Amino acid sequence: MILATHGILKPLTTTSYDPDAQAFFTAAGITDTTQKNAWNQAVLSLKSNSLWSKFIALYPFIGGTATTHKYNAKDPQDLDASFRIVFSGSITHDANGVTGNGTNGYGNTKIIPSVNFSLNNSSGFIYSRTNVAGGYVDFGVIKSGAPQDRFQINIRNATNLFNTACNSITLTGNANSNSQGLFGISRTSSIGYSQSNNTTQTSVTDVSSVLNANEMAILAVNSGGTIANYSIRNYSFACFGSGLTDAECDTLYTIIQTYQTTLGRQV
Amino acid sequence: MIKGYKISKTQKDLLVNKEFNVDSYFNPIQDIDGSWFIFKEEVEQCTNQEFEWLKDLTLSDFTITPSLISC
Repeated sequence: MILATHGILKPLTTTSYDPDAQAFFTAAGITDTTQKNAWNQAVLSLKSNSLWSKFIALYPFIGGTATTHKYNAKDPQDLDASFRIVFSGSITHDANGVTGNGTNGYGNTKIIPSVNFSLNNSSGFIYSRTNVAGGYVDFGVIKSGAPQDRFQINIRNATNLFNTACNSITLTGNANSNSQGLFGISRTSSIGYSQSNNTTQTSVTDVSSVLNANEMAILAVNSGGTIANYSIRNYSFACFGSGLTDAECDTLYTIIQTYQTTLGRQV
Repeated sequence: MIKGYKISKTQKDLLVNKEFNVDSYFNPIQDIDGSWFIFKEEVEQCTNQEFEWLKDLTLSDFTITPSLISC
């Protein structure tokens, strides 16, 4: 006390992070203060808005390497059962997250819809920093034979459609000329789901079919064990979980946009 | 034209399920003619000494097999 009063000892200034955020930092080896503060605030906001519990997997793609990007921040263990991503092929990992090469780079999330999703209560979102049209699946899983039950999105396909299916057979497209930002699909009923394009949600009438039994790919699609439609987009966040309301999709956008802004990579 | 590193089927079999760098696995794929290829990051970032021979590969033209999956 006397030493501190006289300026000989500095007072302790350790920053305390949310325990779930800290567990992710420890597992992924994150030491950068800006990265820590950005994700910590995202975790706090997700929790205060009752969104944290909605997700089974949150991939911050916080910047760095395959190791910092592979962990599911909801359960940051190096296990398939924790939905830790296995990256294969040529992928660029840098401060902006993960970028596919369009030929063989993808990630296996180990999420199996038939095991880990509910048919009429599921969602997936991804934050793209790249504006490009083409036959790129951002995340997806398809049954190889007919009927092709799907959970997949292409933010901007070759004909400028935000093209999606959410535990259903039919792809539904809505016009989209910019593939930058947070995009997703969210189903909370058997008769339809919502396409989320940043702050705009569009209702899609599409009856759910069955849950797919293959592992969810990211940066590509898993079609019955065959990986295809590799993406060239740069991604800075992704998450999967229960269905969100339109208002919750809006809130998620705000939280993730703030996270990206703190890291200086918002679009 | 996309460029990649052409490898034999025997070489492909050596790479499957192996890491080229920490937490990054090879993913050889076939081009439209059935030849096997890997790509830039897999070769340039390879730190696995088991695969030093990758450094001797040269770039070749790669033509992607069109996907039959609508998206």
